[in-house]
Amino acid sequence: MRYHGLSECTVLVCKTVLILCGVFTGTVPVYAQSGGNPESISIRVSATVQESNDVAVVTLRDMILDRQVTNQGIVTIDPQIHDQAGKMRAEGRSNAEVRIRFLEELELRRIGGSETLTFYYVVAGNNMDDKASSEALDLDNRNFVLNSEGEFYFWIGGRVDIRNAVQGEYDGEFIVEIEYL
Amino acid sequence: MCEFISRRISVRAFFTSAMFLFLAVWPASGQEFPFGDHVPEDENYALVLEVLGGYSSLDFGMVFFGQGHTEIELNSDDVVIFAIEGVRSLDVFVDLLPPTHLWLDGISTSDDEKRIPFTLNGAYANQGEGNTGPGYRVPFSGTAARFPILRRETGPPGPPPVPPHSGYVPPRATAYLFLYGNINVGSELQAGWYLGEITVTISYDI
Repeated sequence: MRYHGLSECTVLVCKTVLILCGVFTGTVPVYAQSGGNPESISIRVSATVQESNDVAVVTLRDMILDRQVTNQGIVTIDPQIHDQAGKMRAEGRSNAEVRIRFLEELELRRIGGSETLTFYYVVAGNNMDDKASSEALDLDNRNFVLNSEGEFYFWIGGRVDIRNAVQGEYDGEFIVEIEYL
Repeated sequence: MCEFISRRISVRAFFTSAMFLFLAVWPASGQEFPFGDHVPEDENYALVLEVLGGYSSLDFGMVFFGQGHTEIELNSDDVVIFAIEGVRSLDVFVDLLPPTHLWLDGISTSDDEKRIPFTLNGAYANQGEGNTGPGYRVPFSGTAARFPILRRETGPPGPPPVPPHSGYVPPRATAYLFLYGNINVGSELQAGWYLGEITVTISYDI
């Protein structure tokens, strides 16, 4: 069995990219003016051509673990409800049928230490950019159709017990696999 | 020297004759006021062209080999919108200069494995500030259009606008230009980034 487009995204890298994009678009005005004379502006027209079997996964928002989703030492993020859920978008062939798999359990490792926490992922998906109507992904529900733009959206939540955790910063990555059918 | 003077007189005489002839055959069914002739080099008459929303690219995004006809439709979120601000009583000419193709890495070539045919479409809206919704968008054919910056009311024509004079600030308005179009993605293309450049030029109808 072959899997195409395995994508791994770490939180820190994605945040950096988003900030840089914001600065770029904010500092490039396209504007022309004169006293009654003709005015011109040139814009780019572009497309990115990919081989049909490629599929990319883009991180749109990182998951946020904060006090609002912590109750008695258990952090719980419902991907279909909480704004703290992470968000990703798969980009592939228009209207293609795909099978989606992800690791449901992951060990987060403390940065600068050896302690770990086990994070249990809960993932919802939708071929529209609409969290409210997304479906939970699991072993029984993992075949989907990309939309006409070739897109599919994921919202990533989960649960982690931090009652016995050593204080510090923990790092991990969510891994999703997408296979064309 | 004498010969030189004689030629100048001759040319003037012909020009005057041509003017009379032109006036004689001009139909009497309508009137046109060449207000553009009076547009001064004054900031009150400035034409301002600006891309709205910070998106200075008509981007078809990710496409695949053999995908065929791929379109950014007029009412799509990917349409590029320009604001055209100028004197509201004047007509504006829009001239579009699109590329025939998008080329791999923007390098012009006749190699069909490295270029995608591109067709540009345009529309305008001239019903006032902020009126850019689908119901206001008027598509035009080809790559040129002429329209008033603010659409004139239907019915009998009103009085001509106030001619420029010292201290007069003509009322201004904003019209909008929409660029969209399509590409045809073949199956023999090389993977990569394909680019082209569209130049938009606006001027008063002078």
